[in-house]
Amino acid sequence: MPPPPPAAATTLRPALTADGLAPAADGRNVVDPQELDVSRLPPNAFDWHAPLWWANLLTLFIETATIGLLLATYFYLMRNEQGWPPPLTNRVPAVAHPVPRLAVGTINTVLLVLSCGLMYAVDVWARRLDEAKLRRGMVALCAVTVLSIALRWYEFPAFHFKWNDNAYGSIVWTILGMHLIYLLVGLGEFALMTAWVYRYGLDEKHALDVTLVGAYWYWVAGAWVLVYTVLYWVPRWV
Amino acid sequence: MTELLDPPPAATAVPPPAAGPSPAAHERSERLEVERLQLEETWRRPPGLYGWLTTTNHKDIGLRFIVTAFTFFLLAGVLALLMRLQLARPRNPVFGPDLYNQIFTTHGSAMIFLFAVPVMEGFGLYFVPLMIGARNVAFPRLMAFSYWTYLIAGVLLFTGLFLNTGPDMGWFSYTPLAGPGYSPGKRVDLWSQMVTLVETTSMAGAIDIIATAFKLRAPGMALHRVPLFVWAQVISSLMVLFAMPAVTLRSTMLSMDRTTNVTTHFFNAAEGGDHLLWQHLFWFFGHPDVYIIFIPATGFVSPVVTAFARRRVFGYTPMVLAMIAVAFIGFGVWVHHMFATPIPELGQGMFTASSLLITIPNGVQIFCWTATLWGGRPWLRTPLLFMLGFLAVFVLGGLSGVILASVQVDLQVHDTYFVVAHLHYVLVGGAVFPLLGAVCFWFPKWTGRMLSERLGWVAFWLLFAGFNLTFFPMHQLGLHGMPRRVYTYAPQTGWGGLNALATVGAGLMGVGVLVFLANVLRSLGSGAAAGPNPWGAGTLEWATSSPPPRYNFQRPPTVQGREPVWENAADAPVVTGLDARTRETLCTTTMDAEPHHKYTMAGDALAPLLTALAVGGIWIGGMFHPAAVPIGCGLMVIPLAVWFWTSGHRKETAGEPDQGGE
Ligand code: HEM
Ligand SMILES: [Cu+2]
Repeated sequence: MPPPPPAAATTLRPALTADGLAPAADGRNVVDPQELDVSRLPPNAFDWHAPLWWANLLTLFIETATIGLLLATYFYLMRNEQGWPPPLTNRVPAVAHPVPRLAVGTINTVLLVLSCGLMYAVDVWARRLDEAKLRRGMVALCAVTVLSIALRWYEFPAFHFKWNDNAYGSIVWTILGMHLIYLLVGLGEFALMTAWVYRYGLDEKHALDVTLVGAYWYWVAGAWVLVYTVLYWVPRWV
Repeated sequence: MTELLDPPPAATAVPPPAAGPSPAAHERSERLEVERLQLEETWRRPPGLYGWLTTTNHKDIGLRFIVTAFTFFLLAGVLALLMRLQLARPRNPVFGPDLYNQIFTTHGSAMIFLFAVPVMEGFGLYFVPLMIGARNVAFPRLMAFSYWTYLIAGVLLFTGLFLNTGPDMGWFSYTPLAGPGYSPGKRVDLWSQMVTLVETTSMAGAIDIIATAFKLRAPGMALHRVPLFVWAQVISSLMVLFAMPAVTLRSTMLSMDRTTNVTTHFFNAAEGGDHLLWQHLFWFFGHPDVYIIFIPATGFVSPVVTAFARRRVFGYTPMVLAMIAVAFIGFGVWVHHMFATPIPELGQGMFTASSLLITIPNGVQIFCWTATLWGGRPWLRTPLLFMLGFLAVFVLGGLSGVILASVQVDLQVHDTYFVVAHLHYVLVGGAVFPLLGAVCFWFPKWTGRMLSERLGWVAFWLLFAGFNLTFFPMHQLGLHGMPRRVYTYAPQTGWGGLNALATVGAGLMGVGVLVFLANVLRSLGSGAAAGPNPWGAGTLEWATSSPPPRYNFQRPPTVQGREPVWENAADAPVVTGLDARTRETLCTTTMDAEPHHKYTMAGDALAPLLTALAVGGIWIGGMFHPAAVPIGCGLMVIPLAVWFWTSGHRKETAGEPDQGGE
């Protein structure tokens, strides 16, 4: 059965009594600790100093992996078809190479890229706690997002296939839909923050929230540029 | 500030004798007592059911994760015994094929999704804040949400089994078998919703653990002083972030393929879909998942080995690098599960090579543990015993893994009991033994009481003997061609003897688990008092009382070495100046852990539970009608908005627990 504890177990340094409460293992008193007084440190921080910034970043890791896997699926399914997109046979004459229509998607891309400029300005105003400008900027962002969502509505039909026509339709709709969800989430966050600022004004904590939505929004726009390139242009290149 | 945190000169190590109480000391201890009472009040959990449902303390939730996961382990273990009962002799009439299919699928799914991954998360949530000297995790409500979602997923799976709707297509649920054509009914849907829910849990937990470990470390705990346990948790959490999306994605695709009114064609070969797509997506998650389980388990081994070898760990930096290497390579080996599919030869070679490569960092870790024990003065107690059992079993499992990495061999034994043997050597050896060792090690911290050594040894030997008796013969059975996932076999096969042996072994394991459980239950009531640091271990969780107060440390510690309890100077500084009337904590910089700003943690709330219920409702509803998902998500906006709104107020009044926010 188990051997008795070696002498070392009891002669080791007594347990650190960091909270000044837990008695040392052998009941001896310990020396009074020095004090590291943090009372004058600020109560808020921006960017990578804030825990919430990390939560935001890590969420974007997840979403990046999601988009990456969706695009990988798109390319994987491509191998199964003779042409990409597969021919449209349900109309006369059949279309051999029904590439997606560019117009709406392109407008939306331009819109989203430009919105990053606005977002950047809002981000700066938030850091300066410039409430008046921030309010107007937030309202504008809400409007832009609504517009982008409305445009997305017309992007789905531009691909000629429905989600349940074939695997091409399935993956395209899923990718577009996933990105639509990102837009909706963005809209929700913009709307809530706008409401908050109108109701309670702007404090540092909510300024941080605005900068985080900023990071999210740049990601949404960047992901869209990638998605746009793949969904609209790859069929033209293959 | 930082010069306080440099390692102490050796000369200061001896504490001077304690002086008699002076008036100044008396006044100070009174001030400390006032502060303590304030902290108690601030971090108090309201009594009764409401307090229980709304708690966001990492120790409550962490333990809940652990207890719940062990409950699922027991349930899935009962299923395992039932399988062994059925297979004990040829043509055994206990179960028919349909029930057997449900049982092994539920066993595998529960063991992986509901036990192994969440239990590791539970240990992380409990110990990461304690080991880094924080008061709670960075996002307490996110953590609570994670737990409730997990509970819903687990209940869903087992409810399904009891309603004869248990999944029956194997834990990796390959299409076309799992597709709408071959698996009508709700069995597969239930499985895929369960998986989506539980992986949502993992991702939420992973975010919380990483952010906590990056931002809330005690001053002085620069990256090179972070405990290996915490490194392990961070690294596996990072893997979660990249692996789990593959699961949620493919579960969603499968659900969409299967749902009437949606019927996408991802896995429908007739319409350009692809069955191998499923396999790729599954194993892109599935293999990293092995390491998501295994890396935290190595995080249990290191502190136990260090504590009982009574010396600093040998090769700290190689250990960290090895874990990172495993995490990276772990994403590059998934195709070895698909050697029996038409993969180009070059690809096969590459994946064989990467599968062999991953043994190198694993070997480095095993070498470092051995060297630590070799160079120390090992003190053999049950926690260490379990870790030694782990080393033995895991090395064997790794060996059969290396064998399987060869394409030619794999083709021979694919889908036979050889694979069942291999995966249990890796999972039971790599996860269950370290886990039980970890329970023995930290039980005193959770409860303030010691487990019985004697019962611990009995349990260990029963489990160790039973385990090898169960699974070693399966190698042989596999080589003799016994396929996995069969509910019976003919007497002429000659497999009866070894199967009977395996069943006896499984019975021994069952007794071992019962002894372990009895030890835990007995010690809860009557174990010897443990004191703050019964093992004389060196990391920060041992610097506070057992069980720790709800705020962990009255005055958060600072850190002057890798094993602060051993290495801090006697007068090492403590953090003061945090407001005891709010849930305030100190944020430090990510690399060097320099004090940076104060951060108020969110308080208790009902919102996490409500949100989890809503998410669970949406996903379960989605099994029955696709419209449940958009409608549910629309409605979800309401609780989320309330969450944001209520966590936004920063109250100035003292003693108000519900404030701050995430
Ligand atoms: C406690 C003792 C255990 C016993 C006696 C046991 C027994 C078995 C048996 C007999 C099978 C094969 C079923 C078949 O192919 O027909 C099986 C499958 C499996 N087991 Fe265990 N098991 C145990 C513990 C565990 C643990 C701890 C894990 C994971 C952490 C685990 C994970 C799995 C998985 C993933 C499968 C594959 C299921 C499938 O084929 O779909 N098992 N187990
Ligand atoms: Cu693998």
